[in-house]
Amino acid sequence: MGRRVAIVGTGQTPYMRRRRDVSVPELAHEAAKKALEDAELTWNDIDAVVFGVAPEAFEGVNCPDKWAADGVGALNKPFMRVNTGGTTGSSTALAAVDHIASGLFDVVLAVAMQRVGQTPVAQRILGLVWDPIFTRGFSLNLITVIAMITTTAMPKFGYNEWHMAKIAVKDYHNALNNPYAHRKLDIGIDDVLNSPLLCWPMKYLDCCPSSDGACAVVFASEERAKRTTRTPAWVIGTGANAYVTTPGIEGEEEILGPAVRKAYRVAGIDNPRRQISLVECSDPFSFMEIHYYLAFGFCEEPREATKMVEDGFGEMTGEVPFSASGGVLCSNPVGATALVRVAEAALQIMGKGGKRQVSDAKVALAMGGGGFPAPGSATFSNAMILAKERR
Amino acid sequence: MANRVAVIGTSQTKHEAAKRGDNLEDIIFEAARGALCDAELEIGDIDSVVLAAHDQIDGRSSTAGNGSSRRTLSVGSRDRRGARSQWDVRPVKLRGDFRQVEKEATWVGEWPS
Repeated sequence: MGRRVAIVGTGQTPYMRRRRDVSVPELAHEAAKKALEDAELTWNDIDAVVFGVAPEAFEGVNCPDKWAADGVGALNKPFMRVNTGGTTGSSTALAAVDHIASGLFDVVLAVAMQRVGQTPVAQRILGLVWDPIFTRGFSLNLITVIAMITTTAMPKFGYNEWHMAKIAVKDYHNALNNPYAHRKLDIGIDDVLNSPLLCWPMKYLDCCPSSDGACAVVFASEERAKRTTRTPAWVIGTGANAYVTTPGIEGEEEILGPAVRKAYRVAGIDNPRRQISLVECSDPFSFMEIHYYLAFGFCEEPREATKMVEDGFGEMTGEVPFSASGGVLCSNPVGATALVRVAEAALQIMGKGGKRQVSDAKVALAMGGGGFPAPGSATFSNAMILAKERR
Repeated sequence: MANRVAVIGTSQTKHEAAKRGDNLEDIIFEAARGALCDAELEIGDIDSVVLAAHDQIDGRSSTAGNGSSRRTLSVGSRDRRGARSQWDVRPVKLRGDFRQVEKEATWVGEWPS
């Protein structure tokens, strides 16, 4: 892996439907400034900036990275934009880690943002991922594709709408403890089951909102990390994977599992259930967490995963808390989403989780998933494992 | 600088105003295949892929997604051998033109019953 790397500071903006009070550079600046304050560093300490923003059609601005570069302190510094769809944030984090691990830089700022609130036609933009000749004519959108995946998986896993709603309720309750979360709801399982149907079995409250927001994370080399903070979150494993599939044919464990398994190998994790303290994952739809129990190696077979939902495995009081922040289901600023997973995992390791702090958090898994489970497009996944103890 | 780095293969497509016969995936594949041939490597030798593109100009929401997939799957899927995908393209036969590779793509996935 090259040199050791640690996270020394994080910053987030509150996520909401529309941030009318700021422009692109102002929003990115807000997150970057908070991250530097958290790390107790100045703009001059930053050697390079990696900037993540997913489809710019969302912003309605061409190349928002160029507009925002000055706002995130990139003047006269190496600057790079990353865009891998929904994994943009975690790809940004991995690029920042590689910047330092390679020995080229000592302190790198990773910033990711999105303003989905600027577009009235998010599904139309996402739909452009389909092959223009072969598949675009079917007019499927992300939610109908996700519904196909869910209905295929339901008999295999043995879960139903109640299990999905139970996870959604858990996430909405967790979000109440997160000052940045977009959708915080004190609701019960029946409220989710009775919310408007979008495409069976996906209901309104089983699906994430679209959010405006930005997130920033400061990465540092071993020497700088030790000088900067007493509680760095060490990056002990990373993994990345691209996968191609057709909806419904293969399960989440094959599509999104490989990156996590690669990261486990690097970090030397062979029993995740015992070694991982908490998980921040890309779960924009409620059912995904059930698939992740299997994909991330917390159980051996699909039906066991459904049983784990009934037992409250991923709840704050459960064995391994999933999405203590409320997860993507509660806030989804697309390009920033996966970096938020890294930032939230780091907060837990650094002991700065506030009301959402998981007790005794030693090792955290931050996973970003994205792309589109469609013919003609790859699905990306990234994983980063953070730990209190340097390895 | 930590590790030494070198360029071992390059390739370009013909640059023209409009590629009428090829779509986005076709030209990405052509360039990638050429670079692998130049380096005398196979896709299995590649550890990681970086793709530079511009969504707006390509008319896609994620060129990265399209560019690493389907026929160009051989270019982008990092875990291609380990992770079974529905197109079993054999990119080892890089000497022929794109259409030849297409012919060798066989469906190995199964539709859910």
